[in-house]
This record gives sequence, C-alpha cells and structure tokens, in this order.
Amino acid sequence: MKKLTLTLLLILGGILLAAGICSLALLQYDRLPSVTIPTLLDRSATTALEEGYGKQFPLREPLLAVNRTLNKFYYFSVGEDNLLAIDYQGGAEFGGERLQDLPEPVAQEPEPEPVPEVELPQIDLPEEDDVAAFGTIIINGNRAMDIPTASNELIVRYGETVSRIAAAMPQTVRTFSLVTPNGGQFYSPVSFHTGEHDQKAMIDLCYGAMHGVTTVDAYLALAQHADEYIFFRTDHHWTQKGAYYAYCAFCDAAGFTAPSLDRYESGSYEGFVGSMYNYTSGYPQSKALLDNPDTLTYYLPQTETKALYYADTTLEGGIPVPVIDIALRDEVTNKYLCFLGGDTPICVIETGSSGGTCMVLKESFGNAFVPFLAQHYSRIVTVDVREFNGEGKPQLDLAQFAREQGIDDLLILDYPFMINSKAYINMLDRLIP
Amino acid sequence: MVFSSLIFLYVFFPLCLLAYFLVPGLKGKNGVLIAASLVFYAWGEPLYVFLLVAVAAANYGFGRLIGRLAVGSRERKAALVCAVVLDVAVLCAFKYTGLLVQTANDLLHLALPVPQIALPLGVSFYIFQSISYVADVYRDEVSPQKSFWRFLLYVSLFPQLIAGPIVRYRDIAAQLEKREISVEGIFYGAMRMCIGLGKKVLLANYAGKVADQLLASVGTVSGTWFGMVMFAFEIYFDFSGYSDMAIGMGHIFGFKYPENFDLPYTAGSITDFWRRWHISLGTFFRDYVYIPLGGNRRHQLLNLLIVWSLTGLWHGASWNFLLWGLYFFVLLYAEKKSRRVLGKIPAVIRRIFTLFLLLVGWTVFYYTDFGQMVNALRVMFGGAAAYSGEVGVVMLNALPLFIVCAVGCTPLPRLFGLMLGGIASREGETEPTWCAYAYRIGVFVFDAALLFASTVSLIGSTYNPFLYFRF
Repeated sequence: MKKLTLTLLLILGGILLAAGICSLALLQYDRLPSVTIPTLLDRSATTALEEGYGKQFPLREPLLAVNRTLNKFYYFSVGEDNLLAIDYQGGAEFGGERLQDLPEPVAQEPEPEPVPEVELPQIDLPEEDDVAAFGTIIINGNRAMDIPTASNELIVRYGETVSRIAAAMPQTVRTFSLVTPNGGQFYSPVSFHTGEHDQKAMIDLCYGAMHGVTTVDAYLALAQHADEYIFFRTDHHWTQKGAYYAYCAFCDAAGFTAPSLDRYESGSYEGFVGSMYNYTSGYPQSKALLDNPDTLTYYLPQTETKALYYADTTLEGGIPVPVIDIALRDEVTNKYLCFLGGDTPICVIETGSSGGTCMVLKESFGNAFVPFLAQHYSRIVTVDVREFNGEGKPQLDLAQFAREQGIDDLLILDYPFMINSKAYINMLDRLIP
Repeated sequence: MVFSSLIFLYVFFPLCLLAYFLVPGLKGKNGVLIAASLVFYAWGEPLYVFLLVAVAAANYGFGRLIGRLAVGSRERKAALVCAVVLDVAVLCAFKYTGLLVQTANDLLHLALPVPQIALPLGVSFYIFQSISYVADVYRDEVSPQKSFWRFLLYVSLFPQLIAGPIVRYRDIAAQLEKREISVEGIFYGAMRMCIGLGKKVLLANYAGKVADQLLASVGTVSGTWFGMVMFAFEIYFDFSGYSDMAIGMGHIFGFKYPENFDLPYTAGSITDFWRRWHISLGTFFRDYVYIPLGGNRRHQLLNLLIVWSLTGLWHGASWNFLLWGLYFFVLLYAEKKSRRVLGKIPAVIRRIFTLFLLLVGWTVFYYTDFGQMVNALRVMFGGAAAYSGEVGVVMLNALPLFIVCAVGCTPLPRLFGLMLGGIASREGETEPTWCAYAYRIGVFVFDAALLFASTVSLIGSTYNPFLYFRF
C-alpha cells in the first residue's frame, strides 16, 4: 500500500511541478506588467502578475473549452428554452468602439486659457461604481438581450440634463430627444420587461422630466414593427431597419417626410455574431447564438455623403470615413462598425441635400440612425459625449460649439442603459459649463 | 496570495514542497517554511509583513518574560496584561480605528478625518494565536518557546495564516520541534487539500455569484431567500474549504491542526451550530474570554453579551457584525432558558428552525449597509412579490449547484466515504486487499479530478473572492 501511495503522490507532485515549470518556461515575461517599488507596495503589481500568469497559463484555450463544458452544470437549462440570466453592467463605457483600421486623429493642443477670476464649480467626475448602469443579460432560445434596471432618480436627472442642454442652445435651435428601447422590451419573457425593467415606463418618466425639448416616440414606432427584424439577436443594437422606424418617428416630430425603406439601395453582411455573444461566450447557452448568427442589412443614403471624423472641436486633421462601409474586411467581426466606422469623437457629414445643419449627441445606437438624416440636412455633426471633458480628453463647450457650427436642430439619442448611467449623465451635464 | 489561485497552486506551493523535502533536518525544513510563509504574506502585504514579524517578536519576548516570572505573582500578571493590551491595541488600531472615528463623526456631528488604514490580511488570526500563546504560558500550561524562529514559524505558518483555523500554541508546540512526516500523512493532506480547493472553487465561488446576483437588488421573496441560501452555501464551503486546505497542507508538512467545521448546517440548535462552526474561534472565546470572565458561575448574561459582541466584531469593522453577534447572543440565551421546551420538539423541526434562524442571521451578516439589510429582511418576510420570471431563470440555472451544495452540507458524502473505506479495509485482514488498493486509487482519481476542475474553473472565471479580508 505504501508503494502505491508513494507512486500516486509522485504522480500528483510530478503533475504540479511539470505544470508549474511549463507555465514559467512558456511565460512571455515581456507581456507581464512591469514591477516597480510603488506598484509592489500598493499591491497592484502582484495582482497584475497573478492576472498575467493566469492569462498565459499553458493550454489555456483547451482548458477554457473544458470550462464551457463545466459551465453546463453551473448554468443549467432544459430543452429548447435555452434560458440564462446573468448580471450585467453596461452603460457609459459600453459601445465606444471603432474600426481598428481607422487612423487615430490627433487632438490639437488647447490654447492656454486665462485663469478664471471666479471659482468654477467642482466637476462631478464618475467614480468606478458610477460607470455602469446595472441590469441583466438573458439568453432565451437563440436571442440574447441586455435588460436594464430602472434607477428612477437617474432617469429624471437625465431628462433634466437634456432640458438644460436645450435651454443653453441658441433660441432658433430645435432640440429633440429620442430615447429608444432595446430588444429586451419586445422579446424577453414578461418579467424582464415589466416592473423595474419596463423600458416604456423608463422612457415615459424620462420624457416627463423634460421641458423645452421635442420628444420622439420611437417606442411606439418600434413596438408596431416588433414582429420584424428590428433588433439583432446576438448583439445589443438595433438593426438598421429598427433605426429606420425610429427615424420615421423623428420625421413625424421634426416635420419631415421619411422615404419608404424600399427606395433605399441595400446590402448585407452575413454571419454577424455581436456583443451579446461576446459577453456570454463562456456560458453554454451562448452556443445557440453562435449557431444562429445575425444578418446585418444596411441601407445606403439616397444622397451623396462625405464624412470626416475628428478628435476635437477644432475640426482639424479630419480623417475620411464612409457613412456606411460596404466593404468591411472579413476579419472585422463586429459588423455594426460599418455605420460611421463605429464611435468617433466628432464626425461631420456633408450631404447633397439642401437642408440645414443637425447636431446629434449619441452613443453607438445613433450610428445606424444617422445615415437616414442625410435626406434632410446638408450637414450633420455627430458628437460622442463619452469622448469629451473627462480626464485626458479634449474639452467641449456644447453651446459654443453649436453656435460655431450654426446648427438648426439638435438630436440627443440614447438607449435605456444610458439614461440609467450616472457617469453618462454626468458627461452630458458637463457639456454645458 | 490566496490558496485558490493558479500562481499558488502551480508555482508557489510546488516550489515550497520541493524545497521542504529536499532540505535535510527539521531546522532546515522550519527555515524553508518561515521563508515561504514570509514570502507568501509579503506577496499580498509587502509592508505589513513587518507588522507580522514585530507582533511575533513582541509576543515571543512577553512569553519569555512571563515564563521567567513566578507563577501567581503580580509581575507575571502585569506582563500578561501588557502583552494582551499590546495585541488588542494593534488589532484595534488597524481594524477598528476607521469605524470608531466614522461613528464619532456620525453621532457627534464631528468632522474628524477618518484614517484610511488598510486592514492587514489575517491580522485577527495571528493576533489571536499570539494571545493564546501568552495566556497559555501565563497559566503555565505550556513552556515559553526559547527559539524566536520556532515561534515566528508558529505565528506565520502560511497554511493557517490568513484564514485560520486559529491554531493554539499548545496544539502544535511539540510539532515545531519534532514531527513525523509520513507517506500516509502526506497523502491524506494532499487529498484533503484537493477537497478544500474544490469546495472553495467549484462550490463556494459559484454559489457566491448566484447570491450576489440575487441579493444586489432584492426584488422578490423567493429570490431573496434563495439568494440567502446560496450565500449560506458560499460562506460555508469557502470557509470550510480554506480550513480543509490549511489542515491538508499542515499534514503534508507534518502538522496536525484541529478541525474547524463539523457539518454546521445539520445542527439541531444555535448552541449546536456554534459547536460546529468555526470551532477554533468559538473555543478561543470560551477559553480566553468567557471562562476567565466567570463563565456560567457569575454574571453569565454579561459574559455572554461580551463574548458575542466580540465574536460579531471579530468578523469585521462594521456595526452589522456587532448586530449579528448580538443576534446570536439573544438566541443562545433564549435557548439556554428554554432547553426543556426545545427538547420536546422533534429533531427535524428543530433542525429546520435552526436553518431558518441561521439564514436570518446571514442576512444581517451579508449587508454592511443597514438600509439594504432592513430592506432585504422586509422583502424576505413578504414585503414584495413572491416570485418573478427572472428569479425563476436564475434558480433554474443554479439548480444542479443548489442540489450538490445541499447534499454537500449533509453527512451523506462523509458517510459514503466511510462506507467505501469500510468495505475497502475489512477487519481481520492483515494484508491490504485489492479493494483497499482500488479504494486508494479511487480517492486519488476523485481528488485529482477536483484539482483539474478547479484549475479549469480558475482559468475560466474571474470571480474568486477572498471573504476574509475583513476578518
């Protein structure tokens, strides 16, 4: 017995030692974080080293595959329902992605500003906990959805902030607010879109807190077409068809006539597996998403467009970007980036239309929407509010910028995670000093 | 560094083992363990490692001093008081200063700056170990340790340093100087370590994830109760898993640590629960606080109040832990006074009622924010909808885990192991039978599978909380 025990121990010890030696031998030390005395003392170095070691552990990929199998035990579901509900934190940091092959525009050095004589109010910088809005991701069959949880206080604050922005605009500027629901409102089981998850109630509350703003009823427009392909199943965004119905609602509010969708030239990308799959890929239920990818159909503007994007409000060093990229490389897995090249700080689109200038404050939901506006405006200026007035980011005084650009209309377009995100609302708030 | 990390399992521990078994002689092995323990601690606490050594040095000095003074003399008592005051002062300074200043600010409307002192990992464990040492020397129950290095080894030994059990000096004093390292002991230790790792990584981590998901924003009665059940699983499998790993590693190095958990959720009363839960803490408070205060003989109510207040606060510098301790004080006192009545209630009902009381207790323990705690209790007792589809999906996803955790809390796994072990080693056999060989291989395969699954899980999941950072 002693011999057997010793043999077993030697096997176990050998495995541990072999794995340890292999892991150290294969470790790419240059990919580990550098260790300095301050980082050692504040414990960040050892934490980062442990993380770095874990990420380079031998046979990581096959072991991750085994982990997915193991997760069938921890995230059990039966039959075709293929149900999964996990915590999700989305919001200000989410969606800020652009095409990798777009060059980085250079922000201009700001002119030295005179020291203000009056004390400026303290900026409410977001804390770590503020960054995300809280919710749930569910998979139901072959569809994944991010379900927001209402934070009524924040929603009201969002409405008030939009009103404050509207009040700061030149008097001739019309301000529109479009808060869109996401797919969770239409395709999730009842309890995921009622009560604290009811996006209709969130939008009503938000619009109710606004004044001096024209609200756009995108909810009704989308709800009437919920049986169509208006939201992706594997991605958190709407399809461009969904954006089109919201655009129709905007046209109703703004006094425009929206062309029929079949008048647009269209094309498509097949096999799109988006953000919801990426977020849930470790869970067994996500296989249904991978096996049933989305098709992204785009609709080209009916007028000529020329777009440049910029790092800041100086609008210098603009880089051309297609309003809709019809030739995305196969390697670009996030096909939603075909719209405006993804999220850029400022994008200026010159069109062949004869209308005025529209400024759009938006996050990524706006990217599929904006191309439709080319029909009504000669110039569209998009601003990603997440790219300004933060630490290390360029400054933006929205009222001043709006005057400089001579805008006629301002559209603020967001989805429910944004109106529940303290950090995002703070970013909006800081646009008006 | 924590035991349930890849770098510990595949770099630190194998290197430590290699050095331990290659270095000849007990002195050398002790040296390896001291060095490993200090590196282990400094990895997570690069500055506080000096505090650890300083505490060890001070208590070593007091131990020597107390040992030199006459038994029963005032000087001896004064030396003990000084040692205990110093230990408690260190604990209070690092653990409770922030809480006290903040509370003073809140109550007296002051604006005193609240010191941001990071709590040294494991400070409550090694301070209590040190107190047990000087107290035992004072009582003349053990001789003072002559070698500082051996004493430093006792205080800093990494298997029990950051999450217990609270090992008393008297329990391992002899093993510091002479211990038997056997193949059987190492095998038992290795298997126990794998079981503990599996409890922590494969059960506690996932149960904790479900609990956090349901308890972060309580919405339904069923969801909150289920979340609290999963938290009860988490804290049991986490804590007892760490204790298993500590005991297992101790065996590998030749140390025999006392057991710290004994199926606490099978307890028939709260009194019984505390005999089975974190046993080393309960016996510490009994022997070093309750009995010296007079125990059952005088001021029993006051003594219980003090012990349970301290037990609560020991778990963290937050008033909810005090409330948690007081909750058990009330329950234990009530049990003492109604022993006869309770004895007439069927055991099954008593067990279920005990579990109910424990879940309420864990609710107080879970929420450091009073508002959230009250809200959770309100929801648990009917202050919200009974059920939602969302909770249904979470419960469905967690169903297999719930079943395994529930079975794991019962004596069934232990009985199953004993039954197989009994079959494998039938009485009267002088030589091991093939059954005994098969059993041993079976145990090995099972535990190796736990190690493999834990490794896989550690690679695939970023959720690996360390619950004892507040202790």
